[in-house]
Amino acid sequence: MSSGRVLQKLYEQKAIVILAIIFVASAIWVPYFFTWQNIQNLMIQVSIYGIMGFGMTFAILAREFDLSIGAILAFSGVFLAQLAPKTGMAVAIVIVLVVGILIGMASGVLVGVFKLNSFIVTLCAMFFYNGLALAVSGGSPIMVDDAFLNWLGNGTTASVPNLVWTLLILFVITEYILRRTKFGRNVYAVGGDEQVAALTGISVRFYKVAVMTISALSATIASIYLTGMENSASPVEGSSAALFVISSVVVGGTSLAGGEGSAIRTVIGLFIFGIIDNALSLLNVPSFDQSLITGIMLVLVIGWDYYGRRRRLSHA
Amino acid sequence: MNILEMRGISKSFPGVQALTNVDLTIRKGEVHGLVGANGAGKSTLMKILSGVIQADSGEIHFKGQRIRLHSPLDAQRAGISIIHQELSLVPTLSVGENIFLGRLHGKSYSLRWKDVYKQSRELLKRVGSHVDPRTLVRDLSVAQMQLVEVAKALSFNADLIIMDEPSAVLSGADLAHLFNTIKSLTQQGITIIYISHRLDEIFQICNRLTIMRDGRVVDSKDVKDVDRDFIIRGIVGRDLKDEYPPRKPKTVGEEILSVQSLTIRGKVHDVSFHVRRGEILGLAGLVGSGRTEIARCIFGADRYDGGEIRFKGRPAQFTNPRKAITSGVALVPEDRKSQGLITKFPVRLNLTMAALRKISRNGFLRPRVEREAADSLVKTLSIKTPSVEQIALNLSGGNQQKVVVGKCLFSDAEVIVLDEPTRGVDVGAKREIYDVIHELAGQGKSVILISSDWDELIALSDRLVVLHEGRVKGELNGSEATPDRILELALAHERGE
Amino acid sequence: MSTLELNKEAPQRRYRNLLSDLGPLLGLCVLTVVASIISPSFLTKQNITNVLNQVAVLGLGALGMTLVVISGYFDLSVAGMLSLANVGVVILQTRFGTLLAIVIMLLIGVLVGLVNGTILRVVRGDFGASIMITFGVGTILSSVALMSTNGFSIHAQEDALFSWFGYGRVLGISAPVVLLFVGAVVLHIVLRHTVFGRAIYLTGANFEAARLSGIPVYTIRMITFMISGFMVAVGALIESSQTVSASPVVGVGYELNVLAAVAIGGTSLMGGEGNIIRTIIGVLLMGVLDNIIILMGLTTSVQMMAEGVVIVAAIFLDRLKSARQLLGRP
Repeated sequence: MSSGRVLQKLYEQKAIVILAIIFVASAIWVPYFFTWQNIQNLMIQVSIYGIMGFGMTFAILAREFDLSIGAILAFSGVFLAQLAPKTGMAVAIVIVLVVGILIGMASGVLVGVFKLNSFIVTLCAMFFYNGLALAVSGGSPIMVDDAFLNWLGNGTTASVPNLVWTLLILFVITEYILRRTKFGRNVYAVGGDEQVAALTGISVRFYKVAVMTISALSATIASIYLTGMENSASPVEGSSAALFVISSVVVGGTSLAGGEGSAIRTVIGLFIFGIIDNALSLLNVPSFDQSLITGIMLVLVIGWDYYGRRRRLSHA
Repeated sequence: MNILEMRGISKSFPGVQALTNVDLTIRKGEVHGLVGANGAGKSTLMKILSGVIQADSGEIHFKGQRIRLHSPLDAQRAGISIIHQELSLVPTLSVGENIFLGRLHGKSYSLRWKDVYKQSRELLKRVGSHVDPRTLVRDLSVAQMQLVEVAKALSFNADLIIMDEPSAVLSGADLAHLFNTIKSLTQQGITIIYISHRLDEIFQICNRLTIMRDGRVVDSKDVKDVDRDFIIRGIVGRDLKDEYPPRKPKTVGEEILSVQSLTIRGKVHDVSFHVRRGEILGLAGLVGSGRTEIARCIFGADRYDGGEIRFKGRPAQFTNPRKAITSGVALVPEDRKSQGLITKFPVRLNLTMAALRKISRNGFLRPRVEREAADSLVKTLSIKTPSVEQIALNLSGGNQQKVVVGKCLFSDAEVIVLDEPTRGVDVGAKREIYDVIHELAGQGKSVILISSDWDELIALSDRLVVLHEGRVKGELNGSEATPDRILELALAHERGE
Repeated sequence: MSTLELNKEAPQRRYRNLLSDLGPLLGLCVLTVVASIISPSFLTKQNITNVLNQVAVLGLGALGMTLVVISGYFDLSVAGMLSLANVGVVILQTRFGTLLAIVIMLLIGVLVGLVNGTILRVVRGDFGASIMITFGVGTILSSVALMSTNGFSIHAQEDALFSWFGYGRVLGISAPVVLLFVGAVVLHIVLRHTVFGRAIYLTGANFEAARLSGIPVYTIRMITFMISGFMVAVGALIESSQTVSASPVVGVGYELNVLAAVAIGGTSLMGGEGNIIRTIIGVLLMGVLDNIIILMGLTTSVQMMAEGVVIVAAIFLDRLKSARQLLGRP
């Protein structure tokens, strides 16, 4: 038992150990890694995925899943870009956010109310919104020139990029919701044991719809920042977003089995993948190779998660 | 004063009348024992009382008022809590959070964890538990979880707590601890309904008891007015003679399978027994005594930690069910619908699935051979089905079970392990399954029979091995076995604990 | 359950089965009629041949996927596999010659299936795991495809053997159609008339019961993955032969096309049910649908959206159909 405890503790802390190793290794061996400029770049890179990472954390905690965030990111971006000239940016942002919520609710209802598998539903949603993004944009990137959006994506406040501020604020909010609100705790309960949660009077349906909505909304928010950052919106943006975000959340220690994880773990996971990505870029590894490495990491991480679960089950 | 009166409760499930006009009266502050064989209706009655299912008819009066329970939450709010055998705790959450799940302290946007843990600690103290409320439930022992469940019940200000066979998962010191907790709870004015198979416990902690059999209440009495014999007679009932096929003299062959010092960590300790050709060996014991685990090991479905299983004089290397089946060992699993049958497939496919090689040549199926084999199995086992193409789901429980037995027969098994073959099967169909079991033994096959129904075990078995908490407590010959003897062995408290 | 209920159930069940069997066929007929109304050129021999040639690649993948799905798993690596085999054969061709290149690529297809199956066996993966793991493996494969051509399309060397896959003829019928037909017939026989086929159904319908009946469930699933990889590799040959080139992104969206064909044909994505005929109908449906979209001058974006909706609708109907069955997933 006690040696099992120690292993368990180590298993729980594995993410932070990995992060430390990767960080130190990159700082030593990767040129220019440990410079202020690069760390700032790293933070910015991580932030876009991080915004979605928090949304995905809700979904995975509730034992659901969202493959469609990349497509929602692309669609929301081009939708915003098309809408803004007609309605003005402020109204466009509000509309896009509302549409993001509706998109999430649509998947959520299929998953939570009709009990369809969230893997398949969001896989289909992924293609649907990718198609919609192509249709809305006509297939090519759309330039967006807006001072406010540009400020969001590229500006700084107190010499820290706004994007990083946003990540920080969303992190605090997510962590607060997950730790200190009834909503957050019920998400854990639903993911930990759906039947027990239902017996306690928690509406499992509501929470399943809610987490899918939060996930979609987070992708929409990310798209607003991304559009501002790049001054354009592309319909093929975010093709690897789901892969990156899911891998990050899981490698951070949030289990696909549900009910276990936190925002801080997601941040750790994001930085693990972010640093790998960043270091590979600095080492001039082509992006195809990077996605190869991401794929291998995904298989390893998911395999590990399932393998660990199977062992825990057989010992229970 | 009566805290609870259940009057005229009836409940039927498709094909089974689970409860018939049951009356149950519980007095305030007592520990009320509820005893009966598996399937006697105890669990159904308690599920109705805790709002999990609803009765077809009857009334529940609690604390002088008629109450209607539509959900477990209704029952909890009314002050009735149940502690299930399968614990209803979320393993990934802390003890404190589990106690107050859905009712955490503070405003919903600003929970006060300090209060949650403080109150949890107080509740845990009331049940005599020293667990830190911040610990994850996953890291607790079963005994600790039980106490957390009790604490959770108290958090609802429960006046009545139902404990469903806590001793099935607890033993020795843990159980003694639970009894102390129960005593202190009753001093606090809380009423307990205690379900158990262990009569010693009933005498130890209960004030009154109710005996159930076949969905009816047999009797309710003060514990001091009854003795063991009375309870056993009530549980087992009499005049069941023609329920079983007559015992025939028969010849038993040489030893075919033996289990030597089998050990599964935490579940089975140093268990040895053997079975001969043509013999029916009964494995008696309570739920959780290790019966099913042993069966699954023999069959290669699970791994074991120590000991050896020998088949036909050689060590059996059954690392998976496939090897067991091809060697001639078959299992009729405990859960017929999820493990024995593919309910949405026709009877024919179910009958042949364990021996596809017999209905094929060079890897190709032979439909005519399959069809004839299925037809003949349906005939030999007199499975009632319009045709072998009928979906298994549409068969009655007894006939479904015969299909599973037929599957084993068709795989040419020489040793057949039957785990609770008559659970959920009505009386008439039971007799047919008994006849099939006798038939198997008559053909020289060895049967290892696991059952919670001791009458059934006694009537069928040539020899009985009694298990208790993963250990062999004794062996009885079929002719010398009586329910009392089994109970005595199966319910034996370990000395020195 | 009483006999009364039983009798009431039976005709209903038969009716429902009929509906789910004939539904897709009916859909196919309706779509064909619609197509010929929209465009008079639809029912020309030329166009029909086009449709059939175009669905061959999709169809081969869908055939393999049907086996995987019936066994209770999913194979999302088919997209990466198609891209990889597509560029792989062209690259290998220059070094080893066409014949050897083809053989190697087919073996790699089988090997990828072996890898998928082995990982899932080791981690004792369930349905969800199969999605995630094959998703990851697919990503790896498509990255390798991209890496090996630096992201560009490459030209193939045409020789008789290579061209045969795209343009050859057997008894006057084009090779892609023949390959699809042969694949369908073989897998139909495998599913319906062999022990292996029976084991696939049993595994997918109730994993635990099949395991306890001595069926080597993980091996069965592994072999279905290997068949799937093989079929996709054959599809990739047709693709590169037809276009006389190889693109490393040809597989993008392929997995969804394939799933759509399987689901729309009426094979349950829950496992344990389905057959090759349904899948072929599904494939033809997808082909006609795509053809209509092209004939009407609509874009691929509409196609993508339509496919997403089609699959959700198919699993939704499947869920309604099996709603009353209380069968758990393995």
